[in-house]
Amino acid sequence: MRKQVENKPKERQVQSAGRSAFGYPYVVFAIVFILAPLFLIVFYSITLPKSPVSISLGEKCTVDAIVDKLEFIGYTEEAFPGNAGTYSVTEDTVSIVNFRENRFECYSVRVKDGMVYSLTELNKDGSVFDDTMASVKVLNKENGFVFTINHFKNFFSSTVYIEVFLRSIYIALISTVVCLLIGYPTAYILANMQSRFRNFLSVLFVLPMWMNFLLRTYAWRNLLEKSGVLNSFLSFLGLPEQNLMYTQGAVILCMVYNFLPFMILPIYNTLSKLDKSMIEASHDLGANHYQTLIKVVLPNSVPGIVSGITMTFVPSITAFAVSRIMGGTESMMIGEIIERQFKYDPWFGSAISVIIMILLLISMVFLSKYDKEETVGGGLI
Amino acid sequence: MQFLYVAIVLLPLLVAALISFNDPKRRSTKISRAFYLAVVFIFTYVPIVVLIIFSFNSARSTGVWEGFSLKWYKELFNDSQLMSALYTTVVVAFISAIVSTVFGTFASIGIFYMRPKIKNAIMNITYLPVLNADIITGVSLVLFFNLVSIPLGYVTLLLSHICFSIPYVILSVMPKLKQMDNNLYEAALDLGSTPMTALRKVIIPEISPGIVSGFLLALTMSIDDFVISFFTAGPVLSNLSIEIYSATKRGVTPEFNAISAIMFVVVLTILIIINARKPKDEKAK
Amino acid sequence: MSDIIRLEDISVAFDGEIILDKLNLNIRDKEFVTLLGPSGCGKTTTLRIIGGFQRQDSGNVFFDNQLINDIPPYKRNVNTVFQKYALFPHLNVYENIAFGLNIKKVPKSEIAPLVDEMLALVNLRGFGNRNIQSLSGGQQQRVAIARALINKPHVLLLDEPLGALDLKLRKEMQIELKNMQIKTGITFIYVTHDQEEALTMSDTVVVMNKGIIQQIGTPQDIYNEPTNSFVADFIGESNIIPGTMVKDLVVDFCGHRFDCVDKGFGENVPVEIVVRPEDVKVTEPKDGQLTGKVESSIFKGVHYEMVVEEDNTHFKWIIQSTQTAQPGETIGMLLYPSDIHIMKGESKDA
Repeated sequence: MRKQVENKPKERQVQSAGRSAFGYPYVVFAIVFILAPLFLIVFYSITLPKSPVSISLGEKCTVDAIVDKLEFIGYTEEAFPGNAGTYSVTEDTVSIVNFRENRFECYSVRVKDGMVYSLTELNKDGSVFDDTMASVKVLNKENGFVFTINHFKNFFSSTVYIEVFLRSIYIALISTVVCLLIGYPTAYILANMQSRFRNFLSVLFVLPMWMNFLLRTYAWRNLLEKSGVLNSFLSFLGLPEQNLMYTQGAVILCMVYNFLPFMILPIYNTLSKLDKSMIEASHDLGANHYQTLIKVVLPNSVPGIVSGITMTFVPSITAFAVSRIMGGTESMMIGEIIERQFKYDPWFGSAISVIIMILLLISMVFLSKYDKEETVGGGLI
Repeated sequence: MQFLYVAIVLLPLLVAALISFNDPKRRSTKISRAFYLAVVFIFTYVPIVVLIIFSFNSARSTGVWEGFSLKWYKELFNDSQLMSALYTTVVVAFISAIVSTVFGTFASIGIFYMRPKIKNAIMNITYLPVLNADIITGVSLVLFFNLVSIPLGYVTLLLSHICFSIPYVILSVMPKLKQMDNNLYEAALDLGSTPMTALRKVIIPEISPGIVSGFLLALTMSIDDFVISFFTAGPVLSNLSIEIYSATKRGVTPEFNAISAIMFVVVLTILIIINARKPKDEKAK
Repeated sequence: MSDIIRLEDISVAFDGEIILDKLNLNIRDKEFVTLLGPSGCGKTTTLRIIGGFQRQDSGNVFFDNQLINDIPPYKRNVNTVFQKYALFPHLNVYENIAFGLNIKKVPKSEIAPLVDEMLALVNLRGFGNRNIQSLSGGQQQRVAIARALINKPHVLLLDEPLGALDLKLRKEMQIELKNMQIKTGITFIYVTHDQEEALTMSDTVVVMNKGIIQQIGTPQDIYNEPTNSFVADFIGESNIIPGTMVKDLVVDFCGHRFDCVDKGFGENVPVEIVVRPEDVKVTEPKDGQLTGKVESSIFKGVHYEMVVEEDNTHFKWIIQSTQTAQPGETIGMLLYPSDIHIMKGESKDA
């Protein structure tokens, strides 16, 4: 008997090895398209490239700061007019000989009161060639990058960014909580319905999930804006018009609307798979419906709740379409900042993204304590 | 003050919710449940219904009704930019869903039969795009495409949709593989079939509900996506989400209401068809 | 002893199908009562109505002479052991067992010794901290029993609780349950389709089929004096032979006239005769009242089970005997009058 048992696992492995080959292409795919991009974003967040430096009129900086930037990209100090890739300094002016191979290009940057107030291009003899520029681009003499945590420093030293960051978390939290408060009873009622229409009805509640996310957001703007449907309706009734757009409330309302189906569905799935005899046992042992709800149903619906929270909280933090469309400058969220920054400065944008990623990681760890089975994505399905 | 208004409006809802948890045989419970569902239902559908109604508005406004007209539907079909964006959305959705489903199904089968440690590692990696915020996925993919010098456009859009859909397919198929009776495959081999045939005729039919739901999920995620498309479509290419986003900034016409109406009808129809078939399965059980 | 539970004209139909039709049943206090019958006979429905999990369409349920139709399960002095145990997966063994007491707000200090007492009673001492998922089927079953008994209900309902256990464990649990019932004095109402189980444990057996009570009696009554062919066929193996009641104490079947111990059927009335396989004595053909040819003989450890085709009517008798014969042989069959049971003649249900 023992020998037979020993043989079987090996046989299984031999046969399984054939089938597991199906997974190898995916392993390659996962490494290339999931892991590599993530490494990239982390890499960008901690590096500073030696890339061309832009200096614009009106930009706030000091002579020393400009010199630092120039030295970073490999420029050295030389008396004017120096070779390509050099600069010379006076109390309020920096003259830069751009690192161009074939021609002489020299910029003169004047700083007063901590601000760039003049940009001129000079000839070799010091006369003005062009003084109409709004910004200049100084090419880097050295290539490469350095590791730095400057991006993170910049982010956390800016009160604006911190405020936006905290506000995003706040809005995401409130939206998630409201979704949970509204969604749980909905899922509960649906899961306990007896009629044949139960399936159809529950899908009806979830149907908006299949309509485009932007359309759903647009629908609310349509309703709430100044010339929108709600106000037409109110003025038709002779009631005063409301100005609900561009507030935090509008953003939260729209978030809740968008994510409610994502909260209802996994909770509904979990509740409908709940063992009915467990509920009967609870009643049998003397617990009424409310006691059963708290002591038996809720603890066993945790996987669905966790799944719902994941599908709501995570996207809420970084949703920038909703805050752009429904919110104003007072309700700006971190997603918008990432979007704006990323175009011009992917390094800084990546850093902000990494900060969000760490935040999400912490939330995931926190939530996974409650999610003993692998139902995070599965609860949705 | 606003919070007070909100609280007053929500109070009956809260009370109804609490009563709904009571004994379902009692009248008060039944009424509360019906009331609560009705309110949530109305909340869910009022914006959509309003959208659809105003798609028939004769004026340009999306808020003030002036009369019935079908002109916005005509405008929609004549608007080549919007139509091509819609076309892009649908094509990308279907192609990415099909590719992800096929690739993801085979990947699931492969992963399922791997050794536990590798399996675990891969499943954890697979979870990453699901758990990650979409903006981070979008941003990281752009960096990646930049690195390998793929210009942002159709290819990158398609690739990124496939990229975020495959994990969802795997997450749909894996549970079915776990539930599958191990002996079925071996029984097939025992009865003389080759591994490939056994795969085709035994494993795949067993997990087909997972494959179908994975496909639907991939389709949904793709149609619904905004952020990743926004970053990876590039400066020229546009899809439905991007169009709506730009439009809400520059100015919106009821054309978009018309799109909403059409989308809603399509989705509802598919739903009814699926549900009309389901009861047969349930009766068979 | 008085009737602790009375079911009066209970009718239940579901989806057009009648499950119980004007069922009347009295349960005597402190007894081990078993509802026995095939799947779909309504025994589980009856149990659930007593427990309060299902509402009858019409009829009354009385508990200790009080009408309890509208009383929900959490207010009835009844506890249930469910078929699939229905243990709470989010609580450990201790918390599962203590659940009912916690609801009643019994102070923690009092709960602990009671739980220990229960764990000892079900032979799970020291298992308090264990996870439900880590327990075997038999252990889970015992936790379910403990969880119900700790509340000291007046009546305990058990819905096929031993179905998922292997044979040896099942037999052990049967004895343990019986002992528990005697020790605690709680009325047990037990549902099963296994007639051997019913006969082993019960004081009273209620045989049901298609929503109708076929017979109520002690195990011995049910086994030895089945009142109709369903009961005769369902309980144990039997040979059910058509014959004629000649007159009191005399019956005719298989072409032979037998002395028997039943009377009151009338004269020359068609009846059905029940003879248990173990009651047929194997003899030499010349010594038997009947003769027959052995068709098969299987060794079953305790006895041989033979199928014998009787010579006259070609009726295939099932005989269990410590004696055996070769297939093809002719044997004699001998019956004692007290082993011949007469039932009213009726066509067997298909």
